[in-house]
Amino acid sequence: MVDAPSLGEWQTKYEEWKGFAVPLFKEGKAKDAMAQYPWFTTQGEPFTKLNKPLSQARVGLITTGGYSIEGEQEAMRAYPTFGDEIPQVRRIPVDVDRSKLRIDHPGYDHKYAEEDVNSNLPLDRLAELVEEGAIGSLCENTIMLMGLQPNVTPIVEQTIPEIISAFKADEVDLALLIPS
Amino acid sequence: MSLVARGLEAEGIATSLVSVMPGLSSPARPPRQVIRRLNIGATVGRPHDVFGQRETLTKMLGLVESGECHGVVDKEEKKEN
Repeated sequence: MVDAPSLGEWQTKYEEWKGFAVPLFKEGKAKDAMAQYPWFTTQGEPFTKLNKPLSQARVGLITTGGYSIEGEQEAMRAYPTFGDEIPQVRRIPVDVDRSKLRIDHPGYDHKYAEEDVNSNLPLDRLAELVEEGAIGSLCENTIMLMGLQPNVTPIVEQTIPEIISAFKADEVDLALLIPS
Repeated sequence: MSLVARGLEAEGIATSLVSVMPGLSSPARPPRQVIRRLNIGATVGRPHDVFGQRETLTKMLGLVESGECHGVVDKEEKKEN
């Protein structure tokens, strides 16, 4: 875990911030709380060069759009979790029926995605790139996360290893990350 | 998301992150980052703007292909009128 060694020092600052920020969130003053957020400082410069042409690469997709599948999956937890709760990770098949997608994320305007899901979940655009031979193939499942995760520790210790494991099992060569 | 990118790169999976809020994504130093002047919620492109959506993805893939070191950024400059 590349960033795990930096967690200890950060956690102290985070706990101080949490005591100040949680009441503000409850008052609807998230912006004021986030203005004081202790941004996580990373060490090291991990880098992997793609060892094959894009036309042969298997591409994984990760988004924080907070989507789930209506009627098949429970809604994602739609509020910040300040404690040790492990952020939810959903898998959504890339060939999902687009009409069944539901956005649970409360932190962004859904109007663009409701008009065209490709605005922040570009499943159709990526399928076209596969069809055209620009990329080799798509990972079977999109990894879906929820934004609003102020506690970095469970992300580094639990969420990221889960994503790595899923992508390695699906032989993903490169991942596209799309926040919302 | 920057930390997710870093974790994947450390395990041998190349990444490319798109950001419309570099003030939030840059502090954790993602390995490759495409900065676009788009709205939150339309991070890839405006609804039905197939050209714009493809442009974002092409830039992200291009950075994977061309990037030679950690911290490479493709930043969209403000258009002059």
